[in-house]
Amino acid sequence: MTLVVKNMTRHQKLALIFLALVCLLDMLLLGVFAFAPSLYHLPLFGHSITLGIPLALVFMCTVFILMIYYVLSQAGKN
Amino acid sequence: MTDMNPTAVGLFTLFIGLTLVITWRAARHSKTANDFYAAGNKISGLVNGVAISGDFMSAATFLGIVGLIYTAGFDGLIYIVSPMVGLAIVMFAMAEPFRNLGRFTLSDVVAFRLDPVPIRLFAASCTLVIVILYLVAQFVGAGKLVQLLFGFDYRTAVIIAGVLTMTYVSVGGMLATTWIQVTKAVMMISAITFMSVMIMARFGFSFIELYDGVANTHQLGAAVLGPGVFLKDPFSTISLAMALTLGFAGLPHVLMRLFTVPDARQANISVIYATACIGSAFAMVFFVIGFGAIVLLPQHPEFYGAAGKLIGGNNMVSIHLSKVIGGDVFFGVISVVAFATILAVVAGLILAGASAVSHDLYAQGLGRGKVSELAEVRITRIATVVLGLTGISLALAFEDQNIAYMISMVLCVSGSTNFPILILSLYWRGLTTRGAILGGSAGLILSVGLIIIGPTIWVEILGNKDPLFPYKYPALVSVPAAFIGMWLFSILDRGEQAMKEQSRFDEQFAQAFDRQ
Repeated sequence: MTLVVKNMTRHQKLALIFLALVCLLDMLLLGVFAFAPSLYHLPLFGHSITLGIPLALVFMCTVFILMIYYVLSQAGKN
Repeated sequence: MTDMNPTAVGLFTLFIGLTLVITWRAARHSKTANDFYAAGNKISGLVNGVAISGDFMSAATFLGIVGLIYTAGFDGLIYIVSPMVGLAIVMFAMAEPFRNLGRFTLSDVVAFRLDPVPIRLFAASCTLVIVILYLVAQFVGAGKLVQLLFGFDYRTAVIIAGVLTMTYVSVGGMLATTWIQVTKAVMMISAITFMSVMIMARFGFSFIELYDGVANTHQLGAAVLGPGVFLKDPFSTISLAMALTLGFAGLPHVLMRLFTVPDARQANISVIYATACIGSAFAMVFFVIGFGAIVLLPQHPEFYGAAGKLIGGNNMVSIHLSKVIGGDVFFGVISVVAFATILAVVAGLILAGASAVSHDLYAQGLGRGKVSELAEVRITRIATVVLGLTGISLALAFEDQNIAYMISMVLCVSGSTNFPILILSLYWRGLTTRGAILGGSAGLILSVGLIIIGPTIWVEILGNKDPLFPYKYPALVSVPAAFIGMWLFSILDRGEQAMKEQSRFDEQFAQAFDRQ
């Protein structure tokens, strides 16, 4: 596995870093979901809307932004 | 509900007419095996991305997820977020090497350095298990939906769906399947967007007002806006998320679309568009439609039966909601979108299964690569009809099966077989054919076996008192078992063939990332 990473171009390493970041964020999101669900029940702005809802939206947007950055950087490479 | 809706019947006829024209036009461009399996590699990233999103957004996901959010609220999030992570895995780790190594099927990728005949036989068998299970679920869904919406008999509805999809695939190949999928995806995303805007308009475009309404209406109150209603223990939560994420990244009918674009960059662009379509559609389903249904449907007692249960079950939430939002006309639109979705997904599945039979089992397996393209395409057409008839027969036999559960079973099998083989063959030099087959078999047997002895089949279907395996979703056991099995049997494999396979890794790596 070390050899594979060593042979990778900068762009492939970027893919690996982004993938690790997405997996880490997913594990955080899931970890709280599975082991500390009360955190997602926290109400916001004095209303019924809970912390989990905007966090989910932020997570989805982050994944999408990383993917767009990756494809744009690939265009630059070529 | 069984009265014919003129809008639904009109749109249904229009959709069938349009898809048959697409198929007829595509048939004129599908001459070679490359045209038939990969649309001549001429599909653009945008079109392919929309088609990928259509492949994933099946009727079971659309109708099922809205129904799940309606009953369990926030827990539906797992079904929204996990495919996004699956798409990220496909983009960052699989799309580029896939496009550069493969031609028509998943087996092309793994057979680059592994022993081609046994690995193709195994990978094609896994693909067929996944495709047949998925087909049965889709056909059962189509039959139930058409029975409910148009008043047809279940048997007639399944046969109509089967004959149409067999025609699309056997006549038009991948090109027809792609454009039908695009048509359906555009219809579905437009309908979801319209539905979301109309729902938000009822709440003055204020999420705070919508979620306050949810907390005031649902019997669980504000608890439905947080986790723990449907997924009650950490094992189930993580296991289901793992199946949805890794299962998506191993679905044969989704991955084979990466071969239809001209190059690796277009493959990545496809994934971006697929993510945009799936992400935006699922976000609207989760943040607006599912929660909107909790507030709006109880205001209409005509949708509830004598016992206070929703007519048609929870899978009908979006259909009832469409009537609340846009009356009979929009109800007709959503009904046709749901049926079109099933037809398009079944077409993609049949093509993936038929390609596994003709390309992997027949041409490259039995024929050892010496079969003519013409004969291969002819076998694909025959396999299409055989698979279609198999799907129809099984759907008639398993009419009362739980569709949503069959789909989670498919994703669990896909995540425990295809995904580990693909990712290890691409990134781990040590993987050997023996390791891939034995580890993959462990994943296949455990995923299917644990589902059979779990609560849904062992207790609810077979009527036993207690399950032998206590959890509904076994991916947390079967996926690691597959990876460990592949690693263990590969490092124990010291044969000459194993050394040869490992020595070809550098060549594969160079071709996968276009570094020759």
